[in-house]
Amino acid sequence: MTKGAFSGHDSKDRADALRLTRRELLALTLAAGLLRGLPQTASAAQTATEPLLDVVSNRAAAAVLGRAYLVAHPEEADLARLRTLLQERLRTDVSDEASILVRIERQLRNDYIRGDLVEVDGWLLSLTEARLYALAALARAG
Amino acid sequence: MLIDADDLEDGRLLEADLAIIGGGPAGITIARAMAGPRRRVCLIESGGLSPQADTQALYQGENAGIAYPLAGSRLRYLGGTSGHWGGFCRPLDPIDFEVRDWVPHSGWPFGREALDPYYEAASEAVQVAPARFEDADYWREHTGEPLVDFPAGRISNRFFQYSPPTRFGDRYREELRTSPDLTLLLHANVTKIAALPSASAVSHLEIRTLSGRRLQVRAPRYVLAAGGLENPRILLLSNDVMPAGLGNENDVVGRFFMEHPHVSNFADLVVADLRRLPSIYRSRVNVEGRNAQVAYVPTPEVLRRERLLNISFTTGVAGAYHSGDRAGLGPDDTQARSRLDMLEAARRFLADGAGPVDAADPTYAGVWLGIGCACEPVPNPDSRVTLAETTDALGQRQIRLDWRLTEQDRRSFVAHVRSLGRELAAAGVGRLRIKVADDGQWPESVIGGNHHMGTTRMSDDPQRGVVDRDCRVHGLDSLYVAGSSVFPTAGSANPTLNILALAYRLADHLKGLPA
Repeated sequence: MTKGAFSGHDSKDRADALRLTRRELLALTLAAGLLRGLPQTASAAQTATEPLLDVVSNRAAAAVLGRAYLVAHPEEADLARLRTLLQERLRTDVSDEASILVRIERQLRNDYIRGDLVEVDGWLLSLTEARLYALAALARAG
Repeated sequence: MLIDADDLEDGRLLEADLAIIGGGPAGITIARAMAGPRRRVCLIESGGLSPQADTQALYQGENAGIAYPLAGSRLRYLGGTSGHWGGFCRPLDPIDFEVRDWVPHSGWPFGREALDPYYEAASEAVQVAPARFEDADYWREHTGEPLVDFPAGRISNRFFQYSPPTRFGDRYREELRTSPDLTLLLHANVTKIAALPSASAVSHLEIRTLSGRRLQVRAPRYVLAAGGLENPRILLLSNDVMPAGLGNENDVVGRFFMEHPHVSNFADLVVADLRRLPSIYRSRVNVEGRNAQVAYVPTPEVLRRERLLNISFTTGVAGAYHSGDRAGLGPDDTQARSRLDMLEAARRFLADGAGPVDAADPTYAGVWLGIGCACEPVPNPDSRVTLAETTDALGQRQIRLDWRLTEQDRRSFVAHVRSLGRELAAAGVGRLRIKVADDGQWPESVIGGNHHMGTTRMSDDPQRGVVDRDCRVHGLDSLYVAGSSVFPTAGSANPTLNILALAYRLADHLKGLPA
């Protein structure tokens, strides 16, 4: 095959990571709706995600990536669900602040070694990492 | 002795024990290795001692496939294309020589062990000796920095060493000029390799100058070393005894043209803590007078298991970011913003501790690096050089190049980009952003590396190759070919060092033949 038309790789063709697209808004609206519908549960979930989010140095930056992930995976736009998914992947109590960074780092490394990856706005990310950023996005939206 | 062909009388016949067509790296290397008291060598060069526009124009031709700079990718004067060589030196990898059932037409007639004895001499010729291309311990010890241990086992550390780069014309001109056993014939264009009526051997070379002189050179043996595009052209033009061209009874001459596809701007890498990516990964480092940089090369296990082609990557720092940069970014600075987001989001995974990465510069967020690549292509018989109907200033038909790449080439490239991203992330070095769509099309930015390979490929089977394992043209006793046109596969290493190793091997073979 000879080369042909190519598009979609420069900044003009990519969605601005800071600007919300219609799909992003939909995902966040869904998430916000869930949070409103279940205020106590959501609030509890939000509190319980704090140790997880503490490993994220800049939550606003992480939220940008997290929103992009949720656009592709709107079914995960739920704080409690994401927390559960992360807990399953980490096989640990995610409220245990002392061990959480070590466990996450180990899981990220394993994800990258095994190829358990997703592409988020072009970034090649471990699934665990992407969900962590999605958690940051939902926490900010909430 | 140096002779300008225009200074000889018209119709002059020159005789030698070996005639070499082409004064580039391969031709000069064989001439230097062969010239001696009982071996008079005639080295025939189309150009002079410096570039000249009328001679350079003899390289022009037509493109039928991917656009390719036929004249711009080559230089036609003493030293040849080494005149714009970048100096990248690395041997082909052992797997490049193997028959790989997932790579059509793969397999050299010998393994890398056949070339290993010649890399030292080749390294001397390009001023990188003693070479340490695969000696990770050496570079670790002498840079004082650890090498990255890639935990997924997909990438290994190899090392480019950089020639100054050696300009063969400049470096060896005086040696060639003063050698009593060597005649360097300048401004001499070989227009035909004349064969005996039986087509079993070469009779003589026909030569013309741009000013109109006609000469002949006769020798018991000849080496065609005019480059990967001109070698097939000269064979195809030499068609008075064999209508399809010399060595072309099986329609292989000119086929299998290979280049190393180079793609720019296909991915970004961000790194927060540069201590995790030592300097030899980011730029050329100088150790004991040697310049070197890491080449990220896939492990043979991955190539076999996932049935991929070879590739090599290099990385270089393109810019740094500070947290305050965000305020200055405009709405169109999406790439910069995304890199900064990634660096700041993943900060805890990419640097030690929770404090600033650089205590002296607390706002420092990290760097982004550009990635270079050279991909191995599948040998493809439809990617080829033929003769065009247009002619050059000597009335010789120009070439028509139909450079093609395959979907297998592209899939392999994409897989390796992801592989590199996985490894660098698993090692805690950084995060990689892929900027090319996996949409079945090669990015428009794909170009070659001025590496012209495969057009007189080597095979023990005359049906599959133009030359045999000794680089002798099948069916012709006295004609040999040197240069990357004999490569059956391209690997991902730059050709020059490997061309020289093959040239020294060919010289050894020729020395062993009866006078």
